[in-house]
Amino acid sequence: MNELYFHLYPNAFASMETTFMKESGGKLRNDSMPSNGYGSMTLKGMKTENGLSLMNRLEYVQPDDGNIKDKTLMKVRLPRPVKGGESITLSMQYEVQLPKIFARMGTAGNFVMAGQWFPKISVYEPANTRGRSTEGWNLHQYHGNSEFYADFGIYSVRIHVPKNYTVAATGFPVQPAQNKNGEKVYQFYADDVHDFAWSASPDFIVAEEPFSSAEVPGVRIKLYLDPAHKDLKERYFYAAKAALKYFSRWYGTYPYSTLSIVVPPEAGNGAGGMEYPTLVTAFGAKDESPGYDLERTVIHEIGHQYFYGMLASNEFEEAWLDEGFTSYAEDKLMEQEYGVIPSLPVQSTLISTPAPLTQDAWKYTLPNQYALNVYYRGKMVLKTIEQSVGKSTMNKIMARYTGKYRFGHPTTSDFQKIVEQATGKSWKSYFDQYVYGEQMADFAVDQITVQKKKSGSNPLFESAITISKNGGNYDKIPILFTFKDGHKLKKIWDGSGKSAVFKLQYTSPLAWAMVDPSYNIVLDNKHMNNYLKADMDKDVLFRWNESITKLIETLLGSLSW
Amino acid sequence: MRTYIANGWKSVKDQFYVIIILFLYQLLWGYFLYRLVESAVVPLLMRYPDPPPNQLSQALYYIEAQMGLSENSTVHAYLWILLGIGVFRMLLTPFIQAGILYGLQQEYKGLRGLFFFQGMRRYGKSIFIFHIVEWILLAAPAYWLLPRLYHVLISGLQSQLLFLNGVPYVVAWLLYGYIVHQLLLYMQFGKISGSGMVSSLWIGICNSLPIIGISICLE
Ligand SMILES: [Zn+2]
Repeated sequence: MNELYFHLYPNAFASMETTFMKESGGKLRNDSMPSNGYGSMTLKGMKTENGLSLMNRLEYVQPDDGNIKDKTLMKVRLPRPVKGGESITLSMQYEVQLPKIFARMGTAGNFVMAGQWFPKISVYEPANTRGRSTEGWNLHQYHGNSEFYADFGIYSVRIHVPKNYTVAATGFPVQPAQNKNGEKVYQFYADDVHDFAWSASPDFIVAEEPFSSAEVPGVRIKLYLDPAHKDLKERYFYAAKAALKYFSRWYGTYPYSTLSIVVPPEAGNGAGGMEYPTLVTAFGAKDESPGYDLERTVIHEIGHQYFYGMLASNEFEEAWLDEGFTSYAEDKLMEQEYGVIPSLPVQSTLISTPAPLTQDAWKYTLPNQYALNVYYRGKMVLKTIEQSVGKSTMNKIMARYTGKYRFGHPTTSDFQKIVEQATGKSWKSYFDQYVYGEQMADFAVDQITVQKKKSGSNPLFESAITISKNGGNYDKIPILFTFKDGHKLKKIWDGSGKSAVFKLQYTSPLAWAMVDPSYNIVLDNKHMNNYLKADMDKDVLFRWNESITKLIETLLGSLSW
Repeated sequence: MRTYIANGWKSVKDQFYVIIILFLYQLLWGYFLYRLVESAVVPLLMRYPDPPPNQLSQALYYIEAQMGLSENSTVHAYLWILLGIGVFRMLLTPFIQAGILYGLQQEYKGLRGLFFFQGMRRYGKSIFIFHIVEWILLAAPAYWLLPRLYHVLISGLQSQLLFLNGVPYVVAWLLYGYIVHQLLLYMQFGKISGSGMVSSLWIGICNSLPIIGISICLE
């Protein structure tokens, strides 16, 4: 190996010209960059063990977009190659100017969220990692829509802060904080993690509770609360314990000895709802009695200890493996613990620009396209598998996937294989359409015609209903027919072909037909066309048309002849 | 006052062919609009789930309808057609108005003939300029009112009673529009009769109260 690559993520905030700022417009989720909130990382020195400086061997690279103003990825040419089995040790000095918080990291007043604060080495992938045929670096800049990808390692970190500050960090403190020369010095250690984050504030209210269950040998849950949420400790602890317990039961034991939850102040909301190994952030504390979003965020971020933390997928290239899976787990636990059931039909309706789930994160460029695909569409793809194979098989699939790829870097096809093994059949068509492709399901009642076959005292009507498939495939499509006399009839369409015609003979004409009347096809994002009336009262239709025409004519007539 | 109105009716009789033209003109627009509305509204009504088969049905219908306004290409096509009609009719209006005003003017002088089309040719362009001024004056309050109305609209989506907060703004705008329209109409009279726009404007302002009364009665 002749070169190393490092991510200098803080440089994303160095100017308005960086790739991150150009793509995001200085806005992430609902938080905008405060004025003059720039940040950066300056490398002051880089040496090998024998003291050879590598400073003249550095070069910023932009493999994704060639934007030379972007300095978030750095290449270091090594003085001599590192061969297989050999190792190299570098020492670096660098200065970080943290940005003002709007996107995950930075400062807000005296609150500090130090994520991505050190030059983080890129992932060198051996052949067969995530399906690649030859070994090599996985290199990406920091983008407006993308999180991170890193390899597992060991961290030993000493943090100096002013005396009145409290520090929360990944891993565990190897000794209590020491006061030295008017500073407080923390020493943390973490292994089997792929990132190290810390947070500090003089205002944190700290609470700690031990937790163990049949599935979890022993974890210290540490809560670092903004004072605005000092009375909500119990809610945070309850959610954290439920998450540790059930995620450990479903997806394997939580293997670390600590879990820290940081609750940022309101101004630091941009740092909220973020996952780091053994450290998560809740959303910013502003409301004194927030709704279930508090629990939802805590549970979601703890879910990431699996889908991100232990199953360290590539968030640049397959963000759904983190967000879609975590959202799926989050919904499941929210329903079990709090009885909160998401309205999946409403959520799927919002997905107006579906895109492949295995697409690079920054290529979701339309408004909300990243979140709607990666979070919502991702979890709906899983939910649909669950509906198809049943809950218990789905639980087995998730347990096998999380077990097999624990401390690994799984890819989408790894998951597909697990599904195929567990169900004994090919899922290629499903994955091709909904995961690698951009399909949504869309079944519609297209047309209804009613013919009178017999009149008199025993009338007979034939109603012909055309159902069509405008999106991806689906196995069994339920259809509900309702006749004018109130009689109801249910049928199942096997979904083969582009459309089907149902001919029903009955003593009363059809009133309306509806595909998927209970909205169980979660990937169907167009519901208006699920329902169609056979006809409507002519007078009613005329009144509608007439009043709308009059309204338009009045508007036009007020401005023109 | 009475004699003026009587004279008005007499000129109406003389220019009957203009009335027929305008009647046909509006009839055609009305028919076309009705067909357009029908082709858009009937499919929507046929898909409105009433009574709702599922408790979510109507909510989903409204959400999708709202999203359709910004995303659906068919909806966009209809909006473009409506906009096109609006623009076309607004461009035609000054010429129709020029024809009518000129006809009335010639009539008043005691002349007879097909003044409508003559007026269109002779005064269409200058009346067009009046209309541009009128449109600008009518649109100007939008700069202050639209942000406020937008707020009202957004809050009204949650609680329909809040729509009432928008009423004063709309009423004020309509009133303002009416006054602007009437005053400019006087100036157009002045222009066509050659008696001067300022003096006509002054007459218009002096007579405004009785005129408003007549207009309301005739409505
Ligand atoms: Zn997440």
